[in-house]
Amino acid sequence: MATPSTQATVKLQSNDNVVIEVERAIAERSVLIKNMLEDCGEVTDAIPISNVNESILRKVIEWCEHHKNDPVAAENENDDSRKKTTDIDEWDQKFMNVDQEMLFEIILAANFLDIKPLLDTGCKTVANMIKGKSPEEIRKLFNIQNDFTPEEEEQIRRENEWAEDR
Amino acid sequence: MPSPNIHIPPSQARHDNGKKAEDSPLHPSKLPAPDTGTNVTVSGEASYAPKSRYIFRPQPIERLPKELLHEIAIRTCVPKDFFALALVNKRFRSIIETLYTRASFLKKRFLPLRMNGKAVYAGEIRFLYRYFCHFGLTTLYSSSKLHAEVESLARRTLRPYSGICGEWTKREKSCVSGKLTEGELEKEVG
Repeated sequence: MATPSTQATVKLQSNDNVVIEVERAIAERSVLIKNMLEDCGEVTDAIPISNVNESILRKVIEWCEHHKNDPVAAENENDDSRKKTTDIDEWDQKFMNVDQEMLFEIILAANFLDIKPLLDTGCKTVANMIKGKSPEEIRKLFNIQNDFTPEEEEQIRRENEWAEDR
Repeated sequence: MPSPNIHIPPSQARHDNGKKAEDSPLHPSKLPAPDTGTNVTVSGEASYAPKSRYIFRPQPIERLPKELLHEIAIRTCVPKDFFALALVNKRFRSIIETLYTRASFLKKRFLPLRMNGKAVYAGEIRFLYRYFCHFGLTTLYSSSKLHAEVESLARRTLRPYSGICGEWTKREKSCVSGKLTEGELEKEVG
């Protein structure tokens, strides 16, 4: 069994082979890394973060540094203190003010590294971008191709008619 | 077993935009090799060599797996936004129309309001009512915690709001003002 480690920093290696040294407490915002460090004890080699490139990894570390003192989210999602679904902290709003390429890479990285609050913020950011838009406007925003036939579109509209406020 | 050795002609090694084709995760050299069991060398003039090496690069949002699109969908602000996603493309529709995603959306969108004791607007209750009328409470019966929570949400939502249902239909009023018992309600919408 691994013994608890007291090392202050850990090295993370991006998929483009850049090694970044960070405080252990910051790296441990990632549940993936936290579990890895707990299982392995003292880790001297760089931990390969195979799905994340340097620029995204630095961005994720920036987020983890800012939120290093945040309480760890409770398992129970129905906690009374939960914010409204679309509320995003002002710092996080600025942090997420990036191009779509980077935004979705951050979401993928947060998912891979198991950083739930960052994943939540990323998904809320995208949900806010969708807010009040028609399907056509959503397609335009994200450059998505419409693969429905007009008949299929009409059928879906009919299926979802019940949801419209009358 | 030796892996198949595929030679790609240099003329096909670049995209039109000048990026190296080898850099793409979809480049044939990075895809699993076909299980032919033999070494295959494709020369430049081989008749069965692909004529085009165009590599499709999906839009950033389309690179997300379905489970992450689900996470985005359940965080949409209002039902209108949620159901608008069903009309975006087939991939989104396949996510929105799953019971799991719909139930997760209801839970994320409506449960915190109830738990925080905040006012729930008539429009929201009206939506919930229509939802349960359309899909039925019985579709939510399940041993899973999520479905149990949504079912409980339905029962609690449809009963105590008698004071804010002035503009509702007679049927809605009956339901929301608690004139229907839980059993009757279940029969009505189930």
